[in-house]
Amino acid sequence: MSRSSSSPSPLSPPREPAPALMSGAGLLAARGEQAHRRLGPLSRRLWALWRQVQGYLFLLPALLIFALFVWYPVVLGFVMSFQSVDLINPATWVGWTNYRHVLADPLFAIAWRNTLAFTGYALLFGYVVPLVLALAINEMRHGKSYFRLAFYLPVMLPPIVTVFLWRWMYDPDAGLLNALLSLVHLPGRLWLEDPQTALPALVVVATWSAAGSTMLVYLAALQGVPASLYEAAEIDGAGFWHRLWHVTLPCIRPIMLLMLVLQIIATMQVFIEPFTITGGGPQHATLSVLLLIYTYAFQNADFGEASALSVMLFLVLAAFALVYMRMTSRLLQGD
Amino acid sequence: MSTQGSGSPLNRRRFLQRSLALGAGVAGLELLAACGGTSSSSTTVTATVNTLPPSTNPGAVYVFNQVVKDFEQAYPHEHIVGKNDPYDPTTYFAKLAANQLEDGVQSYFTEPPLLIARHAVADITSLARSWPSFKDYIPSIASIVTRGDRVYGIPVNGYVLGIFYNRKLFQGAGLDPDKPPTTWEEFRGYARQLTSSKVAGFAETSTANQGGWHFTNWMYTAGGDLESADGTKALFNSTQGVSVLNFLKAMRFTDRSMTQQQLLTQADTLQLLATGKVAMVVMAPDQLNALQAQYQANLKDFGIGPMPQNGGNAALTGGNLWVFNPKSAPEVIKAAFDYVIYSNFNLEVVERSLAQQAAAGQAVGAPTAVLFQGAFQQQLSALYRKYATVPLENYTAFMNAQLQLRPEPRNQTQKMYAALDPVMQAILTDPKADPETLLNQAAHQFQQILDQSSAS
Repeated sequence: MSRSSSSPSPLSPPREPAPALMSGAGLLAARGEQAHRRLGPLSRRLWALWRQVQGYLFLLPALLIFALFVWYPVVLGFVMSFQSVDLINPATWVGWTNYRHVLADPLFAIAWRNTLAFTGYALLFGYVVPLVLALAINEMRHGKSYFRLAFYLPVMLPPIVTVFLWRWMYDPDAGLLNALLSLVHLPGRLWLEDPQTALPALVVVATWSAAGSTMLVYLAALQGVPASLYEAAEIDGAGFWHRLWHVTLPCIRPIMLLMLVLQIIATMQVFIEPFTITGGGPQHATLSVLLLIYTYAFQNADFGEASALSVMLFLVLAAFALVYMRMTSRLLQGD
Repeated sequence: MSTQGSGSPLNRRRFLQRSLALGAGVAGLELLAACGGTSSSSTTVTATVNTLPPSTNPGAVYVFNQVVKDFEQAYPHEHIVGKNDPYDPTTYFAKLAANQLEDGVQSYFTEPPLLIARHAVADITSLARSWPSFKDYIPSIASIVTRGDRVYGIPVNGYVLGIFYNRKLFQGAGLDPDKPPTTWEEFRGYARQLTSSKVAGFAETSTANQGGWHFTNWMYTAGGDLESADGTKALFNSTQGVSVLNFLKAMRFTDRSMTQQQLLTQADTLQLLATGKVAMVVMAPDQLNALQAQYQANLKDFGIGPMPQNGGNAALTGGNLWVFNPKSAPEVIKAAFDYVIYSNFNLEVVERSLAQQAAAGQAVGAPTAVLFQGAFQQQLSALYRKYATVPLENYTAFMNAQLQLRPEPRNQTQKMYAALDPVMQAILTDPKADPETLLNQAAHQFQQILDQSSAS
């Protein structure tokens, strides 16, 4: 950071820039940097303004890409949810018809129930698993990096590979799980064919493939717990569980809350597993909201209804996202 | 979204649809027909088609390019550009909206109802009528691409669903591989006999709308209907429907002659058949190519038999047809149309490409459904026999079966299949599932969809 710059702009060029590596804006800024030391108050204000503009110039490409590929489609989705759209004929305004159709669809309640159940199960399995793994690895004396890699590996597998792997594991005729069960003389199960177990089976797949990255976040958080706190606790005669309860968990609680909200947002958008493993079956037991949106749009070519359901999902997720944003800002201030 | 025959009342929307279709037809294509079908100007017209084979199959690409070259010599003012872009119902509308759709698109027999209702295909009535063989189409095939007196597509090949079976497993179980089962009872007995600790006698599809598709096929073998002729009533909750489900349920849970694994698609059952894990599956002969190419299967080890019957004496027929981009200019549509007719029905061209395909080691000569009445069909069939590389003697029973070929239901086909998938899933996974209750629920649900579509 250059010492002379008093403006709060996050973008100050390095003191001795290598011109070849600098953008036009950066060059201008560097030249201005020297000029601005000899300027009067008015020009100084202009200068501050120019620094602002610079910042936005740097942001511009990202803003444009976001506008084109995120915000514009979001707005369009809202508009389309009130229209009859088949992408061929001009769209016509139909008011709340799409919403009425979606609400009248018997699959609507089923999809929401499954999605909430998936989110609930994912919190049960998926929320605790990475935390326990991180705590265990953190306590290890040897083989830390080996286990860290081992638990993280599934994250690196392409989703479709994960899908085929687990389809084989669950296969009741020739699958690994039932083979293991028969080794210990237990009856096999129809994992994916039984409406009772199909959804939890998918949660296991999702957890297995995502727990690694959450674990890394917790590990990083655990590194940040001051060692002096542990020392103080040990002097007071606290054992492992006391240290965990009174030192470790309070220190990483903000991160845990964040991960909780993030996980809810992510798991409510469950799509890949039901789409690729069960197709929403058996008997709609794994139909998720996102899969229903997909069905409306790409099987029935009914983009209005798909948009209407998307808007509903968007509102639910937006509520969680607001919570997340408030929590992050509090975290940043807390630092 | 009414796609009924001409006997239905003309509500406002239908009137608009009709007049739009007529307007387009009269304004564009009729004028062209008046020029005697040849472009009088000397400018070249370029049309794109979606059937260029993938570059991983150089033999097929070569054949494709040869046909295009010959076509452009025969039609000097018409130029064809191939795209490797197989029809995908999930992207068709988006591509059409984004002007990314080819001028001629090869699609499936199931698609016209939705595409016609949404005005997503061009009206080619005058072009079709100008082609002499169009009137030779079997009525049930012609009806797939016609609405009232308008024509929207050209069927080019058809399949009939049958039973693919593993001849080696038949011999191993003491069954005659030249005598596939012809009745439900026989089929059940065969499946029982073929089942062992390593092999399941039969596997059936139940996801991705393929459960409903194959249920429809079994319904035809029992003589049942799925929709009323005008497409306004769901009829599959009938005694025939219940008998189909009871039949499958008995195989799955009484005989235990089916796979425990369910939620399968055709890709899954083909794999199970190719790897010897299942002895019999329902399949269309066009899958012989995949069986050979994907699994390096020796086609001599596999036979095809007709659908086992239970009073219906029928099987489901489907296939491929060409539709044309409604946004393309009439002369461009004409170029694509000319190419479709030339490459599929010009006997010299067909013979040349079959010879080239056979030389390139592709599976040629898989039994197809008969599309035409009369001499033209006999000439086509003779060519397929002449260049066949597949062991036709293994399909004798299939080809000699005198079954009625019934096309898929007309109205809201894919939504009906989607409503029937869970029914198939329940029957194949839950020993306590009740066929009648399931079918009544599905019919009630689908009836609402039909009512909604005819009301709008």
